Amino acid sequence: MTGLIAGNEMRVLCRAPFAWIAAGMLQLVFGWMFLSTLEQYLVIQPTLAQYPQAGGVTAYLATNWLTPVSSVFLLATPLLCMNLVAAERQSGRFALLASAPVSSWQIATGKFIGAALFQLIVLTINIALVASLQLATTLDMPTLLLAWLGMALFICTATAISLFFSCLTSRPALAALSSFVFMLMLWLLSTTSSPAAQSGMAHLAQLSLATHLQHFMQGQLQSDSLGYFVLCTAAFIILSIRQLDAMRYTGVQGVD
Amino acid sequence: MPDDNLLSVDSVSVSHGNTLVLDQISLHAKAGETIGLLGLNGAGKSTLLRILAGLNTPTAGTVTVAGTELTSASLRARCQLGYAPDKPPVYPDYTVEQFLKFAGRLRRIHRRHIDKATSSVIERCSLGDVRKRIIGNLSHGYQQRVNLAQALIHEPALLLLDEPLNGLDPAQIASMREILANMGTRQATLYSSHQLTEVQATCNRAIVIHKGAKLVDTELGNSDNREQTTIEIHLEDTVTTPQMQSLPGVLAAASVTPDHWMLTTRTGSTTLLREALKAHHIRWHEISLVRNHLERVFNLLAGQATAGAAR
Repeated sequence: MTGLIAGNEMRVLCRAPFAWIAAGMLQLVFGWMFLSTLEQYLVIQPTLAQYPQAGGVTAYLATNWLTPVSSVFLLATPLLCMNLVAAERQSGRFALLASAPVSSWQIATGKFIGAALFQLIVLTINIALVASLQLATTLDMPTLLLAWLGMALFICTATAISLFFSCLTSRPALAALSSFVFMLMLWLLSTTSSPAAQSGMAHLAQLSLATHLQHFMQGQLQSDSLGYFVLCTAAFIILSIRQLDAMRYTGVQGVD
Repeated sequence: MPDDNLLSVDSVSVSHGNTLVLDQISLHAKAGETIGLLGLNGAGKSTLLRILAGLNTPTAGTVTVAGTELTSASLRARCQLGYAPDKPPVYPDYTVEQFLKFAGRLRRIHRRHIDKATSSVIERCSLGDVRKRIIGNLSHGYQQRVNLAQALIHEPALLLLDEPLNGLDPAQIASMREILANMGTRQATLYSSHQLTEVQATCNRAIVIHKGAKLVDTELGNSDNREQTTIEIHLEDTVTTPQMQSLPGVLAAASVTPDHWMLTTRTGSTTLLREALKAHHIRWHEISLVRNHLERVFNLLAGQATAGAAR
């Protein structure tokens, strides 16, 4: 059933003009950012060559291109995921799932997988842009793969958070706005580690999406960062399941 | 004794905070029965159907679908029911066939059998002409048929339809009536409506719900039905619902005003009722047996609602 719901979610996204427009615009922005970053690298390459510890093109692109790309997903993921449950409740379509012999667990995981897969395809196309440089130069493939893994984990966490907020309301715009604000706050927690920030607040940076994503972008596979993304994703999926179950008790299944 | 009811609802109540939405509703449905759930807007029909469909959980009471308790074995019970809400739960970008296949798979029809089940329900709901059309481009009448088809595709034991004739033109109503009239004898159908004539035309039993309470539960098509009769009573004093319901032979009591009551009784005997009222020291002005009690109750409720709206 999870696969059926995930497949349906993918099909719904693929049939929605909004998803194609969003995906197309994202590709346009990412492509432009990629070429611009690559051009910057070519300009500063002679200077970088003087420092033996400086990374190559892969490390440069991971830090200077993929990190900004991930911040675009901060906004794109809530917009793509706002319809997962909220719009279904608003349109009354959620009754189809809720009256079928499907558990809340299957609904939540199915919708999560469908939405995450769509975004992972968009991400993989972008990573393929970097991989295409292999034709002209030698890439640091482990760094590239870690960057992809970091981004994929980040997208999964963002999708789980957006799914949860989509379960809380029957208004898609409100779901998108709430999840964006929540993720932005999680992202900005990394600024609390700056020297200007109070020392007591510095530990909050450990809760930041940006802090943990940065480790992957720097080519480091740290267990705490891996654990952070996995735990966050699992926690928000479980919260979504609980919220879907709670709807049966509170009688807010659909729009009355 | 084996229970041959496909649906058993026992003392189901729903409250949201201090508001009682459904009050001790009990009903039973057997195979082949088509039950019309009548009531004015806001009476609690849709809430009851959502409870029966497993969308919401009752605050108290139990629902059993084809022998399976809905709350404790929800998934198994939901395999046995089909639910068509008032707003068709369709994906507007899907074709009719694609949507029905998805709905069928959700209802656990095996991949091998899905094509056959889809074709069968398309034929049953007269959707052959539009099977390849995008649902969003179809008329409301066709979308309602698709709604009915998604609820029927797995041939459920219990079919729940929430206002299936709403917003349809006369030709579409006639067509939908025909589909409803040809429901199988192996399933029970419960459908809500606020149109008495529709229920009388398509159902063999009617239940009237008002302010969350069941007022009337009567067989249709039998004008000489003596098993349950409504008695209209005007009292000198005001009384409460529990007081009236405690009278012997009274199955349900509905107040038009605190001193004007409609009682559904088992015997229809006004003599017995007079004796019971005397025994309970309740004084009355007038007691009368209501002929065509379904119409009388429904018209009274409609009149009461209109008067309330005018005030």
